[in-house]
Amino acid sequence: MFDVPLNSLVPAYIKEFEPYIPSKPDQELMKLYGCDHLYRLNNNENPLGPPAASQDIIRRFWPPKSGLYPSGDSYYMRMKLAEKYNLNPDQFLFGNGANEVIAFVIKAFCQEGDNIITADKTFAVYEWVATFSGFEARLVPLKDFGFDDEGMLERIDGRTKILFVCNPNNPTGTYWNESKLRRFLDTIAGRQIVVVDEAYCEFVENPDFPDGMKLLNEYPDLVIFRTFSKMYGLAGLRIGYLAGNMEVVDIIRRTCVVYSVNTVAQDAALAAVNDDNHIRATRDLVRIEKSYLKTALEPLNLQIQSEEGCFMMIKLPMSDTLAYRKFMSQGVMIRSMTGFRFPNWIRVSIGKHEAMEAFVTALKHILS
Amino acid sequence: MPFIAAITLHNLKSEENCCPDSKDVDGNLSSWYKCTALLQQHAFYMEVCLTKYGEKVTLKTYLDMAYFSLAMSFVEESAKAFGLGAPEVIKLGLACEEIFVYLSESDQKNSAIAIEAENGVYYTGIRFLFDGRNFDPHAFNLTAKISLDSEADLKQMGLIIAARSVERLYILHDTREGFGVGLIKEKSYPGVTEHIDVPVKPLTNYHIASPDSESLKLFVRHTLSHYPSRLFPAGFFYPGKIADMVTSGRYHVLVASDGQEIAAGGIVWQIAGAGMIEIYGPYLFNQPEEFHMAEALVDHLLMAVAKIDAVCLVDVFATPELPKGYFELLGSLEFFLPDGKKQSWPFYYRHHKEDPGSQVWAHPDLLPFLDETYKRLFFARNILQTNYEGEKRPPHAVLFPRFDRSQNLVRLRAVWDGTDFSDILSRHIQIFKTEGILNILFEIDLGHAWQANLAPVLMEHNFVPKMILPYAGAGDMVVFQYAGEV
Repeated sequence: MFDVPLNSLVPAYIKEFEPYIPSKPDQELMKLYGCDHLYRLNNNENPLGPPAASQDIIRRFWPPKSGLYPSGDSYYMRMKLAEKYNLNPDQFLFGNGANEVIAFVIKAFCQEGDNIITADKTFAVYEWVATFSGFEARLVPLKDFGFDDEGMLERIDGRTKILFVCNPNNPTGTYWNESKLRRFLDTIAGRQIVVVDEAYCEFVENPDFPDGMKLLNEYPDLVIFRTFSKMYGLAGLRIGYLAGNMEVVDIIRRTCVVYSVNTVAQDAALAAVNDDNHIRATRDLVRIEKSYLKTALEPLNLQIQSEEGCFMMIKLPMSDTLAYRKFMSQGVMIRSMTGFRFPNWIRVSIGKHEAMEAFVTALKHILS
Repeated sequence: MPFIAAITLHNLKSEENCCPDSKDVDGNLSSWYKCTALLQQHAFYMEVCLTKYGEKVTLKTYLDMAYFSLAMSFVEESAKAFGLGAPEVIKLGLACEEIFVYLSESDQKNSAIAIEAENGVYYTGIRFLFDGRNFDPHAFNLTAKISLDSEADLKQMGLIIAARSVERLYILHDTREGFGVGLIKEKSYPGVTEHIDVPVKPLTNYHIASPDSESLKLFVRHTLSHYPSRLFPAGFFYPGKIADMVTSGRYHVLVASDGQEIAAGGIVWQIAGAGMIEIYGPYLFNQPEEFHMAEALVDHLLMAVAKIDAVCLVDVFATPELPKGYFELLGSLEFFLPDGKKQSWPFYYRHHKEDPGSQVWAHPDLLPFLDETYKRLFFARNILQTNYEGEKRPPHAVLFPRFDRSQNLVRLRAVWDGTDFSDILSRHIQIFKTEGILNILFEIDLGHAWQANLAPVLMEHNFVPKMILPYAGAGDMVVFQYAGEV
């Protein structure tokens, strides 16, 4: 009778939802902004790239293998991690980057009317996945740039299923130490699932930083997220995982998309897992360049938020989105933070020295 | 003719998805139950949906005069149930009658039509959705002239009456929404008759939150008392309307207060369509700069809209209190006061996201303006040139004006291309001049090549490009201002 208008097919929570528009490829951006180089300092990528052994695997990948399906559940990776962390292989689930495992967990535990709790200014994907799946995302304001444990506990009600804690937090770099995390888990006492996203854990050197893997046997409701995109430099291959109690993982497995991690990613990650030299070299670079950046920014009298992780936040006396355009016109790509609910702040990833110098030069030019 | 012999009544009422006032919902529903008796006589399909901010009901029938009374009963009963006053119901009914008759006598005759009635809280919206492949919207032009000797013209007179009986009439032509004609008829509200004179103390400690209805109206009255009318939208003269606009989800307001009733300041915004958030304010009442209330209001606003699918924010009524460092000066219009004097009307802009760069269409005549403006604002654009090269165009252009009488302003947009664009534009200018409107703007969307091609005609009629609203349409919008006699 009628051509159906598309809107009549779309749920209200999807209509209102902001789609994430990724940036264009470098070549296109350089053309649009008229620059002949581009330092990507927007995605917290490892400037050293993947460990040498992973690079070797990628280089030697046998093309006919592309015609075969990968291991559907990342079999050898799970074996390797089980050995490394002294856990059972079935306690691990792999996804096409950690973003995918966020969706696995939310789909596994939430139904209509349920809610999740996280911070207002943190990695956006917990909130996104919950919202576009039709669940309420309760956002607790950060306290002194850190996750507010008491504020999160206060927001729990009978329909709360999952609490997400980003540790250390992207973008502020703050973290909960082991005693604080334990207190939180003790208070929850297994009534909700607690996800601790440790995407940047390998960058933290402080001894009081909790190793979520070691807490899994004590807290059955704890789920840990890890990724190979940051420290291990495999962002382009998309591989991340979760770890948890066997029963919890068994539930999550029901919503897990199998075969979503490709063969190269699995092989490259396998080669990266035990490369402690790569971790050391990356930590050294981040430490040195962060220190350089702090010193270089000192005369500019800008507010800086920089703790753990391979990034730094800077508050500018101007719109961050205007700053983004001005940085781009000078071949430097940073992250504007309005979308993280930090208006007029930018986040810069720590890169190699040449990139850091280019960033400082561009910033001085923009502010002059 | 095969009709669907069914009535479906979906009541989605629950705590989260119904009107704030449950009495209204119940009242509206009882009106609908009465309506169903009428519907049953005719055997067709009706849907009632209650959504977060109001209700939407749909009647699906056929464009046949046999169903005229049915369609009109549907429109009028909907409008009454949605709270429109008797005079407004009559005007809306009149407009809908004309549209139904026009469509029933056109090529659409006997085809299917859906009539949607929407409760917008402060307005009732009616949409006629149909297969519009052969629909000629020419008659919707404000300036359409009817020849009494032409039978075809006489048929279109009804549509002119329809266009002038409602606040807004628009043509819908969208993959998502479908094709059709929409009308908006607003409720009438009592205007503010006297200025409020309640002192507001400077607040060192304040918190920022959405106000309740009474606090909101008080905030509006304070704004009227503290600021000249060119710094707020016309609706502010009707505080009850602003309260309903907030209830409907159209306006959003944050106020700063010490927890008591009186707001010491506030800021207002709305999603203005196509990814743009329009901001008004910030408005501060006796608050010293060192208390940083303006910054706090803007910060809270930006955090509130951080995840909204919008590309930019434009402060169209920026007060002197707008904090530095948050917005860019997009450009300025020359605002003509009733006495003919003019003053600068600045527009402040903030991009909401990282600019991914984009493509725009541009007529060569507009290139110098675009080049200069994009360079100044650091916007990355790939400009594709366009021009008419003898290809066939539709015969009739359609322009839709949006009036803001309090600002003595009209904003024109072309909704349909046509070879008579120059003539239609001249006639519109003539009407605006006759009505004493001094501020005439024309907005073209560079996301559509046919609109980009209107630029030289606009310039011939002494419209001057003043500023670019990035991503405000399918692409960037260019705002032209009429600069007087050619």
